[in-house]
Amino acid sequence: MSFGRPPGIEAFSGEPPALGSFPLDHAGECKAFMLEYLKCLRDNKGNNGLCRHHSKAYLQCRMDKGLMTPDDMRNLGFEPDPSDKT
Amino acid sequence: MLSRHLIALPKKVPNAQWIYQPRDSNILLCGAHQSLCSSAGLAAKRNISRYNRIPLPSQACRSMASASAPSGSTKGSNSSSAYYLAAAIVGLIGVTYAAVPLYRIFCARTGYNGTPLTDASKFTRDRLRPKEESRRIKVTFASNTSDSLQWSFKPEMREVRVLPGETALTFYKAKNKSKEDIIGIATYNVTPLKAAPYFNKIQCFCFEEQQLRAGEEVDMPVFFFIDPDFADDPWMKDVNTITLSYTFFDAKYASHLIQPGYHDQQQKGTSGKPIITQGPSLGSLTTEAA
Repeated sequence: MSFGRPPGIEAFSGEPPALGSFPLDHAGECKAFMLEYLKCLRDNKGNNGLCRHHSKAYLQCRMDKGLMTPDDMRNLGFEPDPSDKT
Repeated sequence: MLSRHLIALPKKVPNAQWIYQPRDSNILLCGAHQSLCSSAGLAAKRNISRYNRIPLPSQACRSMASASAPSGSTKGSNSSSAYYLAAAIVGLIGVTYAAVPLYRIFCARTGYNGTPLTDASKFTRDRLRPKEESRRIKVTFASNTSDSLQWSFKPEMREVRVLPGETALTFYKAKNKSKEDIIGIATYNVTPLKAAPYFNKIQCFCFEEQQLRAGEEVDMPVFFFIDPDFADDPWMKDVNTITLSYTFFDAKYASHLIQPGYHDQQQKGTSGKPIITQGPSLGSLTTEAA
């Protein structure tokens, strides 16, 4: 599929996701949450089920800092905590 | 036509064409065909005595003429078939050009050949419930950069084990190793190819220009899930590992990867509807980092 193209042009594969892209966290504002999440995954051998609260916290940090459109956590697949007010 | 000094035509033969027969052969030259007639006529003018002129009904003459040489009607059908052939060639060339966008549309709709699906109806809330009874799928991450891009681009974690329907987060670390600001664009692919229709990304950093200052390092997240129908598909029984691979390109050479209108998409997050983040413009990126 890429045969015969000019050498400067890059190949194309896949379609973009319809839901947009994360703005880059240039200032590293949510880096602490990311490191906690990575540490949890390392401790649990990559089991995502045990570390989901960390990823939820990371996304919440992104929403608070304006790096992500605020949305209900249920739309992102996280069940709300019983203690949170909905 | 021939002079009247030839053999006289018997008067009781109506509408006859002349047939000229050289006296020393059995060839019949039909007088209805112009070229044969003219050549026979010329020859006959020079050597009238060498030809016998035999009257024949005009229908017979015409059929002989068509058997001996192509007539006007066959010439017409030749040119019309040439037009059909030319039209077919032009049509096939047009189909060749149309095949590229049609193939892309086909891949996006069906997830063929590893193209992840981006249908927004797959992201409703009820699809995001983990299927507790199924096995955990190992999702590994791979990264590539184009040779012309001076970035180091690596996944922060090598693998994550997720259940179908469970949303997961992963990170890639990118560092601009050059001395100038570079804008990059990423594309991705999912293997094994048959699992690609089930791999849905809610948000990522691909297909949009990402600018890194000189020497800057940044973490890029990907938020994804595997469709819960994955557990029910018998074809996926042997799939235990899915690999998501990203490739970063320099935006200078890959500007055709940017999707128009993608940058400014935004929807309110109502129940059951997907959310779309508005990516900041490049101007606001620099002020944010300041």
